[in-house]
Amino acid sequence: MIEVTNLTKRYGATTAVDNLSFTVEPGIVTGFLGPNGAGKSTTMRMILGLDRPTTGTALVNGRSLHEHAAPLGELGALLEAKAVHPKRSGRNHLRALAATSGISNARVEAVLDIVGLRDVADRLAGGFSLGMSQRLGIASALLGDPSTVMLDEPVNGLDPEGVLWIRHLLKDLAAEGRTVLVSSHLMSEMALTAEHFVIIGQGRMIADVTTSELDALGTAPSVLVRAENGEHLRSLLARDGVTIRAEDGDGFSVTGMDSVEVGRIAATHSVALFELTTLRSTLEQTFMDLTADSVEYSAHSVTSAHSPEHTADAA
Amino acid sequence: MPLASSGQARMHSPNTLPAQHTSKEPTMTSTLTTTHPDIVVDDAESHHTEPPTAAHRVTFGRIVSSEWFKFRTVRSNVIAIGGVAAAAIGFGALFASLAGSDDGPGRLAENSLSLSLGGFQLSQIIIAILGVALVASEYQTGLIRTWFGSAPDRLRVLNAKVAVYGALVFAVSLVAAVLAFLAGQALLPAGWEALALGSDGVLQALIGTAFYAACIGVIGIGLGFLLRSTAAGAGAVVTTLMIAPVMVNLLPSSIGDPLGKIMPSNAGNAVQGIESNAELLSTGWGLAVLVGWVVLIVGSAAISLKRRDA
Repeated sequence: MIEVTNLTKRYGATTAVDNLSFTVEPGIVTGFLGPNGAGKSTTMRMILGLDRPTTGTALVNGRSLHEHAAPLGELGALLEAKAVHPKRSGRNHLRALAATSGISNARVEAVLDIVGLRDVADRLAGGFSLGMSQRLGIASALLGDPSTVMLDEPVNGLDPEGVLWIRHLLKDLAAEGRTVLVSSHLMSEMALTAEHFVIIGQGRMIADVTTSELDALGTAPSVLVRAENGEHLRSLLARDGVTIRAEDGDGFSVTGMDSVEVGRIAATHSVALFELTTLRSTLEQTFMDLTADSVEYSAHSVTSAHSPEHTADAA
Repeated sequence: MPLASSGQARMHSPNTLPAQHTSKEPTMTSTLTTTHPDIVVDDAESHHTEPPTAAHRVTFGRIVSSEWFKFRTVRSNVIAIGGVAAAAIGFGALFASLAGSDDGPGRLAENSLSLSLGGFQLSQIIIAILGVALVASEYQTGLIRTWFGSAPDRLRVLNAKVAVYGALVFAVSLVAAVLAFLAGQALLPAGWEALALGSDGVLQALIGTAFYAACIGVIGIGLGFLLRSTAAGAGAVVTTLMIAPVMVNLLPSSIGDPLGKIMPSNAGNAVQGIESNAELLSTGWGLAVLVGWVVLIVGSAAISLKRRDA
């Protein structure tokens, strides 16, 4: 269990983490989401006791990590995959880490098996690919058989098989009753594994929700319409509470009215419909909408001519 | 963004555990709890009623053994420490063989003991830079953060590195000093009377040399923690050990002389006790000044570790 309470970290005039409070419960995977630079890594560093909070606390299983006698058994963390000595073998890296806590070489071999690196573990860690380094980092995190596992962007650099593997691993760890906190800037990835989402932007809490609650936060569904006489239908649909927006091609989208009603109106006025599609926002779209105001660097859309509302945002 | 505030959504009940999937890839072992069967899957209420890893306490002894293991498992460390011994023995033998000649350092020194130990001029630089690099490389790769995550008491990590490297450098330097002395004395030109290990002042010189080397190594470790960069640390080492003693010689003697005496290298010379002259402190004061340098640098490193983010 991880409990973060009123956590704030300031570097001079910059506030990296701004009064965050959340709890990461055992038994499920919690996704820690936010755009790059949102403060996810800084928060994780404070949970690990590497950075001192300006104010607030970050507790692991009820205490600060440094108050635990056997920290590797409480919290296993992966912060930076490339945090290895390039000239030490992967196996010796794990053995050295194990030695700090009297963990046996047998356990080192066990975690090498879990991450599938046993056959290459005698190679120098500097020669590992990013994906292999991620696996080595996950092996270090699992070394002490910890009750809480915290991984920062573990999917980075993994091949598709590795991505699938890590999904299973995270779910297994949670199913074993462990607390699992995984950061990512990709909602699409977390949506498949996490049941609880902590979403932050510019260091501040945006949402602390379950999957279904996040779904409910999504923007209202809209209806994509293509019709024989589009201009005419648009004028028929226009009323209070209904927003109509031109879409690519000859279609337009309607918000504030469902497809049944659009269909009835079209039928009443004998307008032939070519397409009538309900567009529901995905978790990813919801995430993008939630964090849109807090992205540090946003790219100007190349196709801004088609979406003037976006250029207004960027400017 | 008014959509949500912290803690807006309530947590899941323990009954909403995810459906367990069963399809696992061959690379995954079936369980992650081989050593701790007390982690129960079915009943979420009963997770971790007692600390599962009481046996896995972090102790100072374990951190020391980890640091020693880390040192041994990087080949360049072993090569560098071999270089320390090779430089000490090789150059010591060479300098002694040139004693009294017009060549090389022979004309500078009349003392065969000091000639035999002349190789440590180079060895000390390797020792100091290796000490800096042992720590700074861990900062530069981020490895130190993994270590602080497993052993959150940072001062114990500092102390363990000091203990391991200090003891190693002392042992290697003592053996190298003895071998350099024996080789050097055996190679003295005709007309020079060779000293024996039991001769006056020889043991103090050899042990003093190893002690000085260990202090320089520990100062390197401290500078590594303070500066977190191998380049900056190596610069500081070369400045302190080689450039500063030359610079103070150029100052007016009223300032330069007392400053010169407390340079680490000159304090080391005083501890060796091979020469005693007005430019050196007594052995006792030399020892105090040398230890003072170690306390200053390692103490600053400890304060920095406590205050700065890792």
